[in-house]
Amino acid sequence: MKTVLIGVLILLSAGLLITGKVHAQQEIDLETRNEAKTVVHPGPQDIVEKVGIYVFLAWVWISIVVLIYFLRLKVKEADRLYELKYYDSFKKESDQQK
Amino acid sequence: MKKSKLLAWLDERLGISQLSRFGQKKEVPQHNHSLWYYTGSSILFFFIIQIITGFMLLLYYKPTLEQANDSVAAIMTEVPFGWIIRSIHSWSASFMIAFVIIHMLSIWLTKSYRKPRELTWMSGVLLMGLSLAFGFTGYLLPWDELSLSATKVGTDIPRTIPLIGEWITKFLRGGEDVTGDTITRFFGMHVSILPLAIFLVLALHIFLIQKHGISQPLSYDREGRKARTIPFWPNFLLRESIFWLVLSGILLTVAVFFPHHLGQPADLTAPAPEGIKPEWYFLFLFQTLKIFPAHLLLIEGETLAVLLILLSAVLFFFLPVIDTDPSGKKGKIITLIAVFFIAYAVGMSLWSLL
Amino acid sequence: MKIKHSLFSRRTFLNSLLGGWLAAVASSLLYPILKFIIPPYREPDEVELVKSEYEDLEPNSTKNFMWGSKPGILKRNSDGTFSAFVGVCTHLDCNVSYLPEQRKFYCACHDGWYDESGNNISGPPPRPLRQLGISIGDETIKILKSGQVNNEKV
Repeated sequence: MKTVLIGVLILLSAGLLITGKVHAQQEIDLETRNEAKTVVHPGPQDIVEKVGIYVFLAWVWISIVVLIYFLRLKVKEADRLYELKYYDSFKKESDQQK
Repeated sequence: MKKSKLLAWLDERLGISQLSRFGQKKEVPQHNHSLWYYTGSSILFFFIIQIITGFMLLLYYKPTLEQANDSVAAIMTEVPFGWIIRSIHSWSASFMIAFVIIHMLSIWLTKSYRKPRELTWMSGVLLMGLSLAFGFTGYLLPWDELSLSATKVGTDIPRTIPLIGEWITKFLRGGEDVTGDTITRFFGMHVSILPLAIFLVLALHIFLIQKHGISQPLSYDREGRKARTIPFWPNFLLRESIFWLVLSGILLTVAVFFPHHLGQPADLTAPAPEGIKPEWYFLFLFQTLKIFPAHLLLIEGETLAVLLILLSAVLFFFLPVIDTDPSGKKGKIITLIAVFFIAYAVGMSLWSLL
Repeated sequence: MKIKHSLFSRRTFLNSLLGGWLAAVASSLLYPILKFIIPPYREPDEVELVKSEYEDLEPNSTKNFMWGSKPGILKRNSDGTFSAFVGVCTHLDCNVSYLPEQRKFYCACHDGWYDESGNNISGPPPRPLRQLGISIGDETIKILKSGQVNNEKV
C-alpha cells in the first residue's frame, strides 16, 4: 500500500515536472517567435541570493528530518499510551461530568 | 495530564479540552488502505498555503488591464522574495488539485461514498469544482499570452450549451469578449466569492465527516468486522503532521528550482500562440474537445462534447445514489468505469502534449 | 551532585525539543515574510528638473515638483537664490503651502507655521522642513538628497 502511494506521488511529481518544463518551453518558444522583450526570469539574481536560497533549503530539509524524528518519538509515545488505555481515564472523566 | 495555568484559564472560558476529548474519541481505522486517509488533509494543507501566499500576493497585485502583468513582474523582480511566494502559490495550486484528484479516486475506488456518506461525496464533488474554478480564475490574473488564450477558450466552451450558454459566457467574461472587465470579475471571484463558497461547502464536508466518522473498507462491512482504530488526537494527527512536513519540503524545493515564468502582457489583437494548451488538469478535457468532429449528424461537434461532459459530471455527482450495490455486480462495473476514466484522462492528457 | 528525580519528565523534554525546533523554523520563515509584506522605503537620490520651467520663477514664490512620491517645493528666495524643501509637514505628514505675503510656510491641518527658510516657528511641527540640496546646471536643475547646496543666482 505504501509503495502504491509513493508510486502515485512519484508519478504525479514527474507529471507535474514534465508539464512545468513544457510550459517553460512554450514560454521560451513564444518569446523567440515574438522577438519581443525577454520573459521575466524569476529566481535568485546574484550569487549571494543563490547561496542564500540553497542554505535555506538545506536548513528546511534538515529541520524536516529532525522534526520527523521528534514526531515519530511522539507517535510512539501516543501509541503506547493508547495501548495502556491512558486516554480512557479522561474519557470516563468527561462522561461522568456530563 | 498536568495543565499549565494559562491553558486552564483558556479552557474554563473556551472549553478547549472538550475539543481534545472529541479528538480522542474520534477514531481513525487502521488497515492496509489507511494511507489514503492522508489525502484529504493534504488538500487542506495546500489550501492553507494558497490562502497565505494569496494574501501576500494580494498586497502587490493590481487587477487592471494595464497593470496586471506589470504588477506580477514587479512581484517577481522587485519585491523581496516575491518570486518565491508566487512560485509557491502556483505550484501549491497544482499540488492541491493533484491531491483532490487522488482523494476523489481513492473514495471512488474504496466506495466510501456508500450510505450514509452520500452527501459527503456530493459536497466533495462541489469542492472539486470550486478548486478547479480557483485554478481557472487564478490563471488569468498574470494576464500574459497563455492566460488570455486559456481564458478565451475556457469561457467560450459554455457558449455551446443550448439556451443558457451565451449568458454563461457573458457572465464569466464580463462582456462579449475577454477584456480588462474579465480580470476584475475573475479577481473578485478568485479572492472573495470562491473562498466564501469553498469555506461554506468545506464546513459541510468536514461536519459530515465528524458526524459519520471515517469509513472503513467494504470488506470489513461485508464481514461485519470493525477495524482496529487509533484516536484522531493525538495519534493520527501526529502522523498527518509528518506527512505535511514532507509535502512542505517537496513544495518549497520544487517552487525554488522550477519557478513559474511570466510571459509578455497579453495582446488582445494578436492571434493565439501555436501549441497553446491549458493547465495540466484541463488537458484531458481539452483533448476531448479537440477530437470531436465539427459536425456529428446535425449537432455541432463541440456542443455534443460539452453536453457529454456535462452528463458525465451529473452522473459523477450522483454516483453514490447510482451505485446502490457496491459489493455486487453493479459496484464492480462502477469500479471498472473508474479505472477506465483514469486511463482515459491520463491517455488524453499525454496525447495532448504530443 | 546526583538528584533522585529528574527535573522534568521525558514527555516534557520531548515536547520542548519539538516545540523549540518548530519555533526556530517558524522564526526563520518569519524573516522572508516580513521582508515581503513591508515595502522598502524608496527615495530618489536626485531629481532632475528642466531649467526652463523654473527659470522664470518670481522671487518669493514657489513651484512644486515630485520628490519620489512626496511633494517637493522649489522656492526662489528674495535674493534670487533657490531653496528646495520636501513639502511635507514634520508634524503629521500633511502637505504644506507657501504664503508669499507672510513669507511663511503654512500647514492647514493643525495650524503649523514655518518661516521662509523652513524653520518651524509656531504650532505643533517639531522640526524644520526637510531641506534638499540644489545643483544648477546649464539645462537642468538637480535636486539632491543630501543637503549640499550649489546655488547660484539664475
